[in-house]
Amino acid sequence: MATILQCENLQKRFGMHPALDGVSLRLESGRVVGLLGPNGSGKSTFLKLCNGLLTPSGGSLLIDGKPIGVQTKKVVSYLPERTYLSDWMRVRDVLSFFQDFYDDFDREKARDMLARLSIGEADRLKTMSKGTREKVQLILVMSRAAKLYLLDEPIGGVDPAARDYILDTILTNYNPEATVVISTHLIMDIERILDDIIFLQNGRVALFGEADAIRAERGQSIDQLFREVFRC
Amino acid sequence: MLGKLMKYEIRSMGRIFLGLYAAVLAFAVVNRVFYTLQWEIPMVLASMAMVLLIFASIVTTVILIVYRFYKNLLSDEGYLMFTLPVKLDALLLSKLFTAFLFIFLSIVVAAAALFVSFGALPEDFWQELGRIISTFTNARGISGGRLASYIVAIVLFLLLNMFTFSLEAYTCMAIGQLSNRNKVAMAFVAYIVISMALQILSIFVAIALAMMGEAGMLDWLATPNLIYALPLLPLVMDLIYYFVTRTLLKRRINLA
Amino acid sequence: MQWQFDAQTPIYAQLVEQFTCRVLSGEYPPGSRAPAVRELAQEAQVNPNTMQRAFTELERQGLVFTQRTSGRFITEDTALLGQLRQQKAAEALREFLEKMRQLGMQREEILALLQQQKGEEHHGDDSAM
Repeated sequence: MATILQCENLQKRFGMHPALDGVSLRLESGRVVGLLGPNGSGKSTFLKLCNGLLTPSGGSLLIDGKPIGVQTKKVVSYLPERTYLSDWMRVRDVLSFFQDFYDDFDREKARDMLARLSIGEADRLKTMSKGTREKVQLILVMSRAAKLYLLDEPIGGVDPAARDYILDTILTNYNPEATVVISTHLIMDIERILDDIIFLQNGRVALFGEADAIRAERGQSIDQLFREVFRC
Repeated sequence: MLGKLMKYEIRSMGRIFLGLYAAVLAFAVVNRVFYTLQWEIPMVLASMAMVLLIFASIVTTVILIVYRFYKNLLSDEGYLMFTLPVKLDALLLSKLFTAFLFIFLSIVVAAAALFVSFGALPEDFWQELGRIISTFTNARGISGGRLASYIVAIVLFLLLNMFTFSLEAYTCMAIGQLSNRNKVAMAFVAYIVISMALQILSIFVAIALAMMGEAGMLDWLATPNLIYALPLLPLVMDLIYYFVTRTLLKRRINLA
Repeated sequence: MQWQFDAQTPIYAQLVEQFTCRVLSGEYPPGSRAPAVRELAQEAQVNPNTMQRAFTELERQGLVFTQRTSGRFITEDTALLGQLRQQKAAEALREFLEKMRQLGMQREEILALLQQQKGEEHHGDDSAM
């Protein structure tokens, strides 16, 4: 198993406020990892650093053994928490866009998934509901044969049926050469598909371990443990 | 990659301009018809409409260049653009070259519209122009090859200037995005500061020139190779702006 | 049978448990080919790694075996299956008795209840014929 992500004492400050305060992690390939923590714990900041959308204030971060740059962007597929597609485009324009810039994009796979959801290729993004747009983005992200998938709150603000669909999509696209990092605070729905758990608290790693091992040790679900650790 | 990026840039911006340019040229044709038919009032109205449209297309070009950069790179779409496996230079240059293209097109369309509406300029105009140019060139002992390179220098100067506006806007926005809460306000502040700084600089230059006295100034202006230095001005500005923008976005990118 | 989980105990262990039940109930007949890990993981909506771990445990227990070229099969070891059946039944019985005790039922009452239940089932059988 290869190490797909490695960071050592990673830090990020916004002005005086430390969003990440020394995070050290090592993620192996072929795992589904939950990045869990309350709002403001640094989850989104961490994911943005992995994508080069922010630069670290300190520490090191390597993906696939390389520093963040064009090479790492080729193997990282990112689903942010927001709509990042140009809304004047049609679905087929977006498919072409991804195909143009990502060598690992599987257009047929994306078309299949879209068809199953009855999303037409001529549909304009502008006319879609938020939920549908998010599904389109998820499909695009999962149709790439990346080594690291970073999903920021993929199931937040989405109805239970859509949640099932999203979890199903993540599982169907599981690839032993790739790692999926899911950042969320909706743990109950998602914990059964997680291999490993990271608890992020105040910009630091409060816990990192295998989900089943934690269950055996604590006799609790991850959701229950979360409530305990992050009690207000 | 640059080509692919530009393809999408042009498509995105072109959608808006196509309509505008078509309208300008349509009015130019209408104007021409009225001119030929000597229908005074419709001609005046059509001319006014056309001039307004030309003005609108220039204003639109300016606004769109700024807006496109901001929307595509510094707002939500930035999450897509900055995670593409392309170099930052490719992202910036695709925007810059497309901006240049549309500024150029706006000017061409405007000129074409004027030309079409009011027909070919009278013979005497071209003769007059030719005479003025030859007076100037003869007085300075310039001819043939030299004249050509003079023209090249001037054209370069104009072209490079067409980049400067965009680059200045980009630099201001790159500075603005550093702020966590007030990106747009910061960009404006940056713009004001840069404008003021350039103003002050040009005052210094003006004073320096004035100190040479009128004769001294004319002599200096007539220095044979001075004209070749002309394109250097916008070139240096352009390079500085590009470098600042690039460095800020590479090392200090701060997407919301 | 639907896959049910409670997230408080290791999921792989629960998968082992439920898979065993399916074998015992005949859903996966002895000697038949075991379903693929990925398929099963999707059906159960769990991580393929977790399902893989369950299978490793099942193999360790002898409930499934791998033939190098042909794949994974359910055991045909009737002795083992019988043993497991007894084990599970005993567990279920223990739980049942515990629950009855909690309800305050006495031994005679329990036996009477069982007889009644058995009678109802016979009656059902008769009417089916």
